[in-house]
Amino acid sequence: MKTKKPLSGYIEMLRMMMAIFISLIIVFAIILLISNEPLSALKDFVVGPFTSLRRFGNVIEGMTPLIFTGLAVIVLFKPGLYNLAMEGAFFMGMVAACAASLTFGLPGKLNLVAAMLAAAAAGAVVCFIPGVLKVKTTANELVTSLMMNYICLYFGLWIINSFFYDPSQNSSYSYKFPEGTALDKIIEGTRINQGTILALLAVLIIWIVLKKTPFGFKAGLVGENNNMADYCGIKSGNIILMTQIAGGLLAGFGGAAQLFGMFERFQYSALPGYGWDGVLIAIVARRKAQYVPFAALFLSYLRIGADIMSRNSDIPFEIVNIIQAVMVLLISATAILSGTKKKLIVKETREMEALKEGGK
Amino acid sequence: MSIWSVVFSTDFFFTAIRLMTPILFAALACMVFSKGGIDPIGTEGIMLSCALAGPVGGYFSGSAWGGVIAALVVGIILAFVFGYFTLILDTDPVLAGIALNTLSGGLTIFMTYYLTGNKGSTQSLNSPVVANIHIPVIENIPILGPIVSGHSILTYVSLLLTFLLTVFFWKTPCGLRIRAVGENERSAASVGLNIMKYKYISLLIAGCLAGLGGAYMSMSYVSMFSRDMIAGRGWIGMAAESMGFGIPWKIACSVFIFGMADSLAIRLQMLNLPTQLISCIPYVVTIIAISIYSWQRSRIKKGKK
Repeated sequence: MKTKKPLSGYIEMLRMMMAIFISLIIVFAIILLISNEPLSALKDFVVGPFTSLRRFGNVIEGMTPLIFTGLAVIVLFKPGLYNLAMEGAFFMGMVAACAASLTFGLPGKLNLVAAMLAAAAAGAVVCFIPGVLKVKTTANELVTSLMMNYICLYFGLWIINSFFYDPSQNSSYSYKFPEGTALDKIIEGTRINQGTILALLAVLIIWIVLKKTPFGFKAGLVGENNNMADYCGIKSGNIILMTQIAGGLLAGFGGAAQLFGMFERFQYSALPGYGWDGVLIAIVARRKAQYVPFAALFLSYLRIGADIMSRNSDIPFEIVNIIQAVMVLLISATAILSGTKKKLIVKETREMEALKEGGK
Repeated sequence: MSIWSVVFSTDFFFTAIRLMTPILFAALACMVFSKGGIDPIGTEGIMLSCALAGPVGGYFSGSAWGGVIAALVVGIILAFVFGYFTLILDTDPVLAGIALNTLSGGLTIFMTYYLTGNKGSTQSLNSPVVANIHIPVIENIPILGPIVSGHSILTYVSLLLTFLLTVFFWKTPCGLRIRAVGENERSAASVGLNIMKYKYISLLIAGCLAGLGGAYMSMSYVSMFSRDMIAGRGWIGMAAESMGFGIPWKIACSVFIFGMADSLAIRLQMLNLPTQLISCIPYVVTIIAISIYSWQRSRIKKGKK
């Protein structure tokens, strides 16, 4: 018997399209209302990213951190925890990468590899703490991970300012990274670098791990029903800890990839917010690793568009946050279209039954 | 200056009370959300938007109370937005909370830029502030006077509300019904309570409380809105709420601990310790406190089994 893919499966897709559509409408409305030159602003926003190779390159290079944090969120949330420390882990990854590259002093690319591994380790520690507190003391991981983010910010800034601060710079930037400690550019005329390849590689690995390995299956089981997993003999505590470490590794590594791909010095003074973006990426990708690059491409396109618009018009860049918030709200609003979905499922089941009866 | 003179001074406790006010508002908002069976995770985002609404409302109405009212209105609206998505549209509360936080973060900067031309703060609006009160007789009592007197009206309002909410939730039919709805929706419905009505009432009250917390930050603690100024106080309020077992006076006590941690962080800066490390203190204290509390509670639960 031919199995037709049921229509009801497309409802989530439809809801996502609707959410994206509505949020863009809202933003267009805001632009039309408050901008003095709404049409040129809109044009910059929508078409801007495609107007030059450099700008399109910005879109591609902007994907790298988003892919890493998107994957990190998928992995962190997999066992049913809401550990939001990926923001801090990404930041600490950058701090550790900077610190390691300036202290290790290894020759050539070895220094780069060592620094990136140090960054991943730092990220893992950051995400591990809320996880282990959850498992051992049942402390709400949401609260502890949010506190971790602030601690990472201040602690990280303290490390940079007290040990790696370059007095020759006006702002509190770190020293330049050693020669060769950078991810090489791969396309002339853009800043697209090896970080993007690493990100895509990470997508592949996480996809395989979550989809094809016992570990991925167990993590999913813990997420769906913690008690059942325990009864099946899965040590849910260990699974949780391992996923939190893995998520932290991803976020920290992503921080290093961002830092060595795009900058010569550490120059952040606030949390960059990529961790929060990761939540949107994970939701738009429907928590599936293989869709993460597409979600990241979409969000990166929006951001570059908004960036170009904010530079040429009176609309500030933060309009992107409004789009993102509305999208998260609407995509995760499961009640929208759920009536239609139910009707579709009932209808399809009836058709299937009718088919079976006919087959007899 | 020794560490003792930093901690054991009237200034230390005065600052602690000053700093506990926004957290107390946040914690009370979280308490009301939780009592109505609604996830309190939207509090941080709501407070941030209200912190902007205060000075802006104050600027346009020309009076501090206009600002406070604007903050209340924004608080109520956002609480209902959060409620609409989580209760009616079935959005995951955590995701809705994150979204509300992102929205507030972006929208406040957007509005600040639109109104003042810069993205950092609303300093140029010169918005009015809520007055401080010097309590007549108490003011002159040594030690106690300088600690208790001279705070913002909103600080006293927060303490008064702690008491009033106790009365409301334990002595009035409406409050008791909200608690019934929050604890077990179905059994509340089975005795004929209109669940949504009581959820809406708790959204209303919680929105007001978060609004006051936001207004305090930008109209009393400092005299302007600056970006991301809530800085996790909404989340700390969540921690304080659960540590206080949802009981107002216990919540106020745990909030006071966080107020002291904040105050310590500020006063230690006088000792020439690195500012950034000291800024970590309130957050570290929160993690430690919530871990100890959760650990004890899980042991009690195990013991009962």
